Amino acid sequence: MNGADYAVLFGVLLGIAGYGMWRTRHRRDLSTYVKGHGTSRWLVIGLSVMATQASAITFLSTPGQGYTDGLGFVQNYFGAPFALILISIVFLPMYRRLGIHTVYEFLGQRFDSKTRLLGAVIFLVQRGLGAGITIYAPAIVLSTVLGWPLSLTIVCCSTLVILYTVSGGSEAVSVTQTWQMAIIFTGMALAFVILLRELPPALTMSDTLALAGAFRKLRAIDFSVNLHERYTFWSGMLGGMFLALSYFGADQSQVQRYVSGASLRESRLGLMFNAVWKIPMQAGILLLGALLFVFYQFQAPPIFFNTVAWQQQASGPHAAALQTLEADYARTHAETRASIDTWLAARQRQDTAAEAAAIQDAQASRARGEQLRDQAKAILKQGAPRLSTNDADYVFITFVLHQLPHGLIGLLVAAFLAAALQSKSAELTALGATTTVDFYRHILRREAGDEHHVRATRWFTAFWGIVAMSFALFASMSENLIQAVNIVGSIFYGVALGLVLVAFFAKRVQGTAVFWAGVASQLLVFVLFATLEISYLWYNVIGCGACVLLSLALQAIVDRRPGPSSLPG
Amino acid sequence: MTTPSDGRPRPDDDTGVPGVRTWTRVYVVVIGSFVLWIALLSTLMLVYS
Repeated sequence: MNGADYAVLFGVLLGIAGYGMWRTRHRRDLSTYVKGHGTSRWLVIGLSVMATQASAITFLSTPGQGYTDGLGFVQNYFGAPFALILISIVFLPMYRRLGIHTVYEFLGQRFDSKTRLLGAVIFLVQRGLGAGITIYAPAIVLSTVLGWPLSLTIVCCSTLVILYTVSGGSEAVSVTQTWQMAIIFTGMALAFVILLRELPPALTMSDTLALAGAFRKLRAIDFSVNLHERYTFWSGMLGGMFLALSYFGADQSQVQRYVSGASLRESRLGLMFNAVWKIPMQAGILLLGALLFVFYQFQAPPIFFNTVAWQQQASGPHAAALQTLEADYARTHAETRASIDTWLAARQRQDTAAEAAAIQDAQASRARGEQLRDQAKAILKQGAPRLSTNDADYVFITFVLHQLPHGLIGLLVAAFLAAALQSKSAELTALGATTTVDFYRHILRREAGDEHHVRATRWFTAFWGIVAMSFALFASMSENLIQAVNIVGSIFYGVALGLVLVAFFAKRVQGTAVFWAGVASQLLVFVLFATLEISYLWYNVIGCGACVLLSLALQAIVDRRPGPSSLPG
Repeated sequence: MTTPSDGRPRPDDDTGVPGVRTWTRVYVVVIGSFVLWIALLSTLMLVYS
C-alpha cells in the first residue's frame, strides 16, 4: 500500500464513521438507540439486513472458500428465500404489532420471565462467540497489509468498532450501511473486472470456466442424499432454511434491522429484497474465488497465503525445510502451468483426446502441489502450534494487494473494514440491547429512565466488544471464517428458533414446558455435535425439532397432572 | 392481506410494486427467482464440469 491507498482508506473510513456519528449525535431515548427512528424505507432496510449478514468475512473469506472448494457453499443459502417469506408473513407482523425492543421480550410476553432469559442467554452466548470470530476478518486484512502481528490488529480493530458502535447505536449502523454497501459492491465489482483482465489474453471466458470446472470448482449443486456431506441441495434447503429462519427471525442483530421500517410494507419489501438477491450475491462472490483459482494457475501463488506467518517461520529453525518445500512447490506449479498451456492449445484446435490427457496431467501435478502445501503446513504448525494452517481467508487479500492498482487497493481494504465495521456494530448493538432490555432493565433497574438505559446499553455494548476481542485473541480455528461463523450459529440457532416457533404456533404450550424443552434440546445438540459427524446445517433442524416436540410432550404431561399446579408458568 | 370492514385495503396491503399488487404475487416472484438461480447454477455446472 502506498500514500494514495492510505489516503483513500482513511478518507472512506473516517467519512463513514464521522457521518454516522454526526447523524446520530442527539439520540437519547432507548427505543431510538436500539431500533432506530422507525422511518427506514425498503431499500435501506434491505441493504441493512444484507450488510448485517454480509460481514467482512463474506467479502474476505467467501472468495477463499470458492478458491478451495468451489461454488458448493452457495447451497448453504438455498433455504433463505423460503425462510424470509415465512418471516415476512408470520414473524414480522407480530414483532411490529407488539412494538418490542428485542425478540426475547416477545418470549417473555408470550411465556414467562425464565423463557425470556433462556432465549436471551442463547443469543448472547452464540452471538458473543460469533462476534469473536468475525473480528478476525478485519484483523487479517490489517495484519497482512501492515505486517503487524495478528493480536495487535485484533485489539486495534476491536477498539475502532467499539468506539463507533457505542457512540451511535443502531441508527448509526443504519444510516451508514447504504454507503458502506455501495463502497463494498463497487470494490468487489472492480476486483472482478481486474481479475478477468489479468488472465492470459488467449483464455476466453468459456476456457476460464472450463478450467475451473475441470478442477471441480463449479460444482454448485449436489443432489445426493448424504448426511455426512457438508453442503448438499437437501441440507441447504432444509438445514439452510432453519438456519436462515433462526438467524433472520430469532437473532436480535437482524430483527432490530427490519423492525425499524417505516411501515410493515417497507420492512417486508426489505426482506424480499434479500430473498431475491442473497443467492446470486453469494454465488457471485464464490465465482470470484473460483476465478481466482484459475488466475493462480497462470500466476505462481505463494505456498502459504498467510505470508506474514510464513515469513516469521521461514527465518526460524525450520527455514531450510520450508525453503526446500517452497522451491519444490514453485517447480510443481510450473509443471501444472505447462500442462494447462497444452490443454489450452488442444482445446483451441478441438483435440478432445489431447485436452483430456493434458488436464489429467495438470490435475496430477496440482495434487502433488497440495501434498507439498500439507507438508509445509505441518512444519508451520510445529513452529507455531496456535497458528491456523487454513489459509483460505488470505487468498483474496493476497490478490488485492499484489494485483490491483494503487488507490483501488485502498478502496478494497476500506471496503473490507467498512463491512467489518457495519456487521460488528450491528452485532454489538444487539448484544448490548439484549443485555440491557432482557437482563439489566428487566431484573435490576425497572424504574430507571431512558437516559440511564441508553447509558447502560453503551456500557454493555463496550463490554461485549471486549468479550469478542478476548475470544478472538485466545481462540484458534481450524475452519475458515465463513464456515466457523455458520457452525457456531447452527449449534445454537435451532433451539432459539424452536422457542419462537412454539410461541407462535403452539398456543397450548406454557412457559415451564418450553423452558425445560429448550434447555434439554440445547444439551442434546451439544452432545450430538460432540459425537456425530454430520453436516452442521442439520443441527438447526435437530435443535428446532427437539425443542418443539419436547415442548408439546412436556406440556401434555403437565396437563395430565391434577391439581392447581397443572398450569405453571 | 386482510381488509377492514369498510372494504378499503389497509396501507400495508398494497405492495407498492408495479405489476405485483398483492403479497402473494410478491412471494411467487421470489420463489420464481429462486428457481431461476438454481436453473442457472445447474446449467453452469452441467456445461463446464
